[in-house]
Amino acid sequence: MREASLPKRIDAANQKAIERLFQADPVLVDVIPAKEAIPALVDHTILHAGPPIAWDQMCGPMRGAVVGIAMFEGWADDLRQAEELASEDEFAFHPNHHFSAVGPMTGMTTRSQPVLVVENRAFGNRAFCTLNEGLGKVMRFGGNDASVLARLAWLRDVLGPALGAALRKSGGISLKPLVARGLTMGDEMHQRNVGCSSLIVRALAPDLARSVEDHSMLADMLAFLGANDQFFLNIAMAMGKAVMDPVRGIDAATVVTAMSRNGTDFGITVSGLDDQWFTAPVEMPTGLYFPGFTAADANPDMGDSTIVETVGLGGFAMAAAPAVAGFVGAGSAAEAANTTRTMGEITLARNPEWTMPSLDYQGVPTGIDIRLVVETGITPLINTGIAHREPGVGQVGAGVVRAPFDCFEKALTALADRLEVV
Amino acid sequence: MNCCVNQVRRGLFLDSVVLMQVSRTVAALPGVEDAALMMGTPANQEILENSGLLVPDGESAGGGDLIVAIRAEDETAATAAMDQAVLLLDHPAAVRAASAAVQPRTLRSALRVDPNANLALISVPGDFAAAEARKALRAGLHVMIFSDNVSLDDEIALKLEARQRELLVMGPDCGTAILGGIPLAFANHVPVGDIGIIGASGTGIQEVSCLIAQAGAGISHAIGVGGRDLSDEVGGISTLTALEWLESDPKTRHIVLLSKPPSAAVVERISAELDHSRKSFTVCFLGAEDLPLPANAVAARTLRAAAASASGFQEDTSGGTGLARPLAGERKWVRGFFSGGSLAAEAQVIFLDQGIRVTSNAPIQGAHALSEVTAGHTLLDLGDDQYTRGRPHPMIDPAVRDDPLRQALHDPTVGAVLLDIVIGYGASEDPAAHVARILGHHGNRDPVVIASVTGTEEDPQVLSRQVSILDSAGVWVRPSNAAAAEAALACIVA
Amino acid sequence: MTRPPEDRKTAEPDQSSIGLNLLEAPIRVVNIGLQKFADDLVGQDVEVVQVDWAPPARGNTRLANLLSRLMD
Repeated sequence: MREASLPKRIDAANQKAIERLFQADPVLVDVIPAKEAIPALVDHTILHAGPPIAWDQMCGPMRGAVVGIAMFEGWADDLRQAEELASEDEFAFHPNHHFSAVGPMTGMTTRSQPVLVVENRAFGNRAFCTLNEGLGKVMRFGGNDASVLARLAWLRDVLGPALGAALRKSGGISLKPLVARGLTMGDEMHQRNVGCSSLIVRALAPDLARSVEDHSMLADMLAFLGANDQFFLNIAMAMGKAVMDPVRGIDAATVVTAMSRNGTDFGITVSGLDDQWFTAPVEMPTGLYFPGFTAADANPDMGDSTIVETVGLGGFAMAAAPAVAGFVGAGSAAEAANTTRTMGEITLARNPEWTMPSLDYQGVPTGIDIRLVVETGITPLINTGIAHREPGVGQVGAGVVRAPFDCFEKALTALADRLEVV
Repeated sequence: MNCCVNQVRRGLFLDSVVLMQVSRTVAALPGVEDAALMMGTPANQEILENSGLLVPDGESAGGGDLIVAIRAEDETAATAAMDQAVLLLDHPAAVRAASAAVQPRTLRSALRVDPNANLALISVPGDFAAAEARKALRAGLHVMIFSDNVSLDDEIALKLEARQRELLVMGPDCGTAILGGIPLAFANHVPVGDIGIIGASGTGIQEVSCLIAQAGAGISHAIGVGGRDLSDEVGGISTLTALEWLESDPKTRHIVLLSKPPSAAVVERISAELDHSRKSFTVCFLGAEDLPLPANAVAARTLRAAAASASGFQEDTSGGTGLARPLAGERKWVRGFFSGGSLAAEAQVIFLDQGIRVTSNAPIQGAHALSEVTAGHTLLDLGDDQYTRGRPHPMIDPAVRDDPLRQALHDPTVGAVLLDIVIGYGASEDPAAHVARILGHHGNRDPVVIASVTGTEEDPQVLSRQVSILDSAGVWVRPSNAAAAEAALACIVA
Repeated sequence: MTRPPEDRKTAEPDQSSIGLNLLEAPIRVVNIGLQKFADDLVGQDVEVVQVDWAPPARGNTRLANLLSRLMD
């Protein structure tokens, strides 16, 4: 009886999904212009974070980023003109995810920007992410003034090419072992990346030095990299995308392949449901605010960075990062450990290569199963930065936010239909 | 102008004992007329509505949400009470808050904690119990279902599946088991010995096991099979498995079977099983006459007779006539309020055997249903479904008995009040003290209050202490439920 | 009472209680429901795991039914 074997069929499919996930071999190999990485990125095409969204639904920071990047690319002379073009449907908006890419917060990806390239050597697929701009007034929070555009230009013309050259010289940096080290240093790769950011700069420095003849330029680059505790976030995101993409499209599998937000909607994709998005309104993060800011200033949840939780890091690995617990207002170290344990209720496996010393080297909970989310009512917990609702102001706090239950309910119903469960 | 407020807590589930405790505290707040905390299922919403506790705010609740409902004499009192209720919900008892590690949320993750678990004890709301039991069976565990309101169809399906997997389902509605000396759910601490019990009733098992302990003997295992196991539809599936287990248990010499009377067909089937056994049996189908039993089985009409038969003690059926006092004029009637269904049934057997007419909400054969007569002796099972819809069982919450008891004490036509006090694990901390509080200064006045305590010295409440508390409150304490019923009879016929 | 290993998505059980019924081996309990039952068992040195239970699928019966077809 076909019906009786359905759970077994799903379990087998999930097993295959987990195997593919763990077989991944993500390597940071290059930094190249986005148009080389993604040929479909022509003029007037803008990739954004999260599931599909139209201009008139975009939140303040995302609109700020759109008009800013339009100017950066030379598609508009000023912000007003950029806004007009946007409202006249002159730009083609697509999710990063549809083009093997991810981007933090507003997640703008356009043809001229340099993107990190992570190659999953086990399957040959690649994933891309722009370079992290640093803190403060930046485009990922909707910043679009001259200083923001100037920095983007510097990334495009100076740092990007230099990093690319250094990476090519190095033959690529294997990311799994680096992340494993970061977990023992208190990183969880979403809100806390200082360990891995330090490790990657250390790994790149010699080849960077060999690739940049001008000492003053090299000094500027190292200063920039050294000042950015979150530099590794974008690498971790591209890694997550590269790891999860081969897990897409396994018939009957219920493993989540992506989670993402566009400031309005939260979307998930599920292995057995190919690239279909299941969306619901984003929830508001709860957390701690920097001095001078309150919850009234917060933008709704945004960014592709939840790909990090999708592979078992971030909020899922909070037990490895007790310092983050206080930072995001999740409480004490014991509560951080409990968060990881609770995420264990909705995941199928523990990653043997990414272990947490404080939990007796238990592996991070990996492989979110939509059936377990629906059964237990426990939704994935995400460590996230909180952006100011006004474009360009920047980060105003950090907190935890949940993936909406409705996404999983919709996905489960769709899967049941697909599998012809009456 | 009284005021009713509701608050809905989405996705908050608390077990029925916690809900009861919070409800009780909130209901006692100044100005509060009534309060209830219930999960927002359609059935519960109806109960709230019927109690005048549901307002539109509460109607939005779903089955996984908690409704806090309060009716108070005015808005101020209602708001204050709601604030207090919210505080109680947000700051759960110290015990749970203090535990460092989270508890597993499902059977599946519990089995990661203990892969060698062999028994699932299930006491979730009835609507969900069958699904949990099924999961447990498929994971290879035996199951004890404390929950009631499980459908008959589900019970049959579960027991058939269990049988096929060589597993045992105790229940549904199984309140008591003792395995290898370990009391489970509502059970007493009794010495280990060579008498096994298979019971379709929790309090029946409790009374028999405690009387056996009183006689200086002990219990090997007491296996609860649930109230419907010996029905025609279920056909005794769990009883059969229990018989097989006790048959091959070297520590069990004699087996007591307890149930309300099954149909003739089922009795015949059980009889055939007993006939194949090498052990000896006492069969107590409360109130049943003329059972066709094989030579190795003896019939007992009451729980006390069953305990006597199994352990070899002599029953004292005198009813303590020397202590009886005649009831004055108008005071003719006996009112019994029982928390144990089998104890209510046993009392009915004793009355009917003396030819005394009796009425009950759970009448045995020969007794009258409540709807039929208005006056007369009444023996009520307060644990019956009609009393426990949306309320905790009287063994969990002794307050269920308070109002009926008070009414009886002030009723000039009542001559004797009969109570059962069941102690042991699962029972409340001090049932005797609770009764004593309700009796207040009633003392030795009429109606005479007669009670028995089902329990042992080793129970947390300590049998002798409970007896002493009741004694000081003016209660006439008898050594068994049967003896208490006989004492009440003695008052009537004296 | 054998437990086919594929029905138990767990670590390897030890050999001591395979094939035994509840009377032949010490009971090891998973308590799903009233916390009080677990507390009483802990007090008697019985191995017990308390499940922090909530209605499946947040009380949504349609979803719970779907789940039962998709999950063992």
